Amino acid sequence: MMDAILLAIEAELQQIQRDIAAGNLSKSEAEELLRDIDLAKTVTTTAEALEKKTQVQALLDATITMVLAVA
Amino acid sequence: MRRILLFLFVPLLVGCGTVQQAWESYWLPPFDNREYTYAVELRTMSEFMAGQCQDAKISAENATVIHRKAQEFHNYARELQNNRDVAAMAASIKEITVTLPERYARSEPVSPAYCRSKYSLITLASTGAQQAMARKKR
Repeated sequence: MMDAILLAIEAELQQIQRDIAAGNLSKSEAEELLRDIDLAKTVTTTAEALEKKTQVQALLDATITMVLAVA
Repeated sequence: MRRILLFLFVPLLVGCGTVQQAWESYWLPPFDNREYTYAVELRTMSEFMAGQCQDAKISAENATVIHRKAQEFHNYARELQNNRDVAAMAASIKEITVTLPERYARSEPVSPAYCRSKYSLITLASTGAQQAMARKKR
């Protein structure tokens, strides 16, 4: 699911580069937006990690329920 | 029964690199409606505000409103126990919004292209956070 968001962030990066080339952004605005691209990617990476932890949690819950049922 | 347990344990051990990861996963807080609402509000507000970038006066007001909402999200998430991932996402989203009101407070004009890209990135980051939180255990 996060792949679509990463692709959209890449598309936004290309848009920023086009705006820089067209002179639509000042130097400081462009620098700030490039830093924001990294922050948005960091959020996506953390979201992926959270999704994995949620999956592991479900598996752990199922395992513990099973072990308790056997015991 | 042993086969069922083996079937559950093997992917679990492969999935968790470390005991710490398994521990953090086990104690992951369940779905939090308020936290989820913050992500939805940030996503919706940024989608809406992106369409108002041509108007500098409205955009200046929007900048303060969205930064305040991101700050609220971060303040809420950061104090909850075992909530490191959501707090980190909230911190990054807040970091994206923090420069918006600062820039509109300056004397030099803010370009509509900057405004659109800024809100677009807030939308994408909030959407990622929302999707991950939506999958949490109810």
